[in-house]
Amino acid sequence: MATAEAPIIRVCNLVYYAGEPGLLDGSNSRPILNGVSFQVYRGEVFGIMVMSGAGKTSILRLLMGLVPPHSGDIEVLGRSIVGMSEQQLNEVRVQMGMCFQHAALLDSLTVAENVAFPLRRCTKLSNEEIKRKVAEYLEVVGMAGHEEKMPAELSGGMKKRVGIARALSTNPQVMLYDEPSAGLDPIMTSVIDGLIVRLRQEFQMTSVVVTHEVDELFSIADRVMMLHEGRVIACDTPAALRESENAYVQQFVHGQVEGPVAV
Amino acid sequence: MTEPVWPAYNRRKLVGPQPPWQEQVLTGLLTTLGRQVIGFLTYFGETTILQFGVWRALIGRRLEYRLSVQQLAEIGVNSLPIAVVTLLFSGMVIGYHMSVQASKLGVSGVAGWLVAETMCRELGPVLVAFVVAARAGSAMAAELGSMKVTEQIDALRAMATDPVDYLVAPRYVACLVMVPLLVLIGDTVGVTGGYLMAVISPDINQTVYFGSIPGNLESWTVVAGIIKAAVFGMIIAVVGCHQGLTTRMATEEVGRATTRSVVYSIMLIYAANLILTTILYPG
Repeated sequence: MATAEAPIIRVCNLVYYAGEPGLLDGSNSRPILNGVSFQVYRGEVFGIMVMSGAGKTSILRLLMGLVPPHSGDIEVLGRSIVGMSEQQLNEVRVQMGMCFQHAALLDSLTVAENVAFPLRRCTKLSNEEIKRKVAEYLEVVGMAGHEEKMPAELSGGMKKRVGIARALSTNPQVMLYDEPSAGLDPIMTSVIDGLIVRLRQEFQMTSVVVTHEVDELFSIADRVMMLHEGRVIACDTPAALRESENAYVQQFVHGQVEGPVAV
Repeated sequence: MTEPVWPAYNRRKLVGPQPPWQEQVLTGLLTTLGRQVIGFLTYFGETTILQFGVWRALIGRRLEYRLSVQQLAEIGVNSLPIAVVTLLFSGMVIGYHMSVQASKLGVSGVAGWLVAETMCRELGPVLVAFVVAARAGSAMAAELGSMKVTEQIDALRAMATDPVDYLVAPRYVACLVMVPLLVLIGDTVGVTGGYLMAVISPDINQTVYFGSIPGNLESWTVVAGIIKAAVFGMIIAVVGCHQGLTTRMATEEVGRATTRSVVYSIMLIYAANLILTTILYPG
């Protein structure tokens, strides 16, 4: 999928520490992302695989500008987002959507209000158009008929689907998915995977998917990047990764207990 | 990739020769002091930035009116019963003391004014602020803290919505409006409570008690009390919201943030009360 055109996301030498680096006592002084560089092209489904607790959510938060990196540069849609003000970041964020691992629905709003929220904040659509779009996206994720429910009344999987509908509602150019299938049954996992692929095919939507699910990711991603101890150990097509001779890649791809990664 | 410089002290401690115990103690003390100073400056800086962020939202007319009305009801209506009970009993205690002491000194005719002066100057604003800090400030910290832990704050930002505009400004406006209003109600209830106890003195009756107030109580005393209440309201909102927004990503941290919001609010209300008293009543 990689093309000669300019990447839609460009990350250079990213360094990020979980928590603030300890100024006085050296605590938290080991970066969870250490010199990470990658590029994502328009219309690409780019997968990121990381060991648990090794900074997968942090990558998405960095791409969304929710946290600043400690060093390195992040370019999204042709603009460097490092050092941007919150207002400038918002101009970039309206062209992006993020599906959080636990959905992060606003629990004081109904399902319909949650999906309508970004439309009301970021667009000038009429109430009728917003209602129509909300119904359309809830239909896409199989949540039609649940419009008036509160998030507390939904299961984890249902929340996740509403979260995806909310993120998609503004037709973003880039979608970031944090564990899109976590908590979903196999059927709904296939629906979400199919949706990601369909959005790429029909709208050239760029997707960055972070997950542990090797089979799922390899079935939808054009390229997959693997991180270990904060560094990129591989970034290639799923087919190439399956054939990789890198011991770390092999252990992760095949889910082996024995290997260079001690468990 | 260059190595970070900050673990230098730790590394020396681990692999180098151990420094003498005096140096270790001194280093430990300075580290603790430094951490406290950095913590204080960080807190001061963050709350100041939050305060300016709210003002920017208000000046830029980015206030969420629907949410502001909700918060007015939440903070005002829900705090009213506790504020009334607190001020009623406090007024009764003050009324009792004033009537007894005034009778001893032969100035029973001013007992009502003394109660009103005490309520409007100090007790009304401070006690109402404590009630709102405990009732509404803690609720703000808990609500925003829960939103932080469940990534709702991040979700708002990801949807190009500033949490200060959407969450903090309505609560700030609600505190700014409702705390002075509660103080006005509380002052009235407190003075009435004082009357209920003052009349046990044979020298004081309804006419004497309430009659002493209009001629002696200056309107500035009431206005100054309202100004104090407005400042206390701002403190409660900023402290509560700041604690919520800076909650660490763990469920138990929500409880800690809630406790801290009440403790910090009360301490800052005491400090602000001293400063405001010297400014508003210059003697």
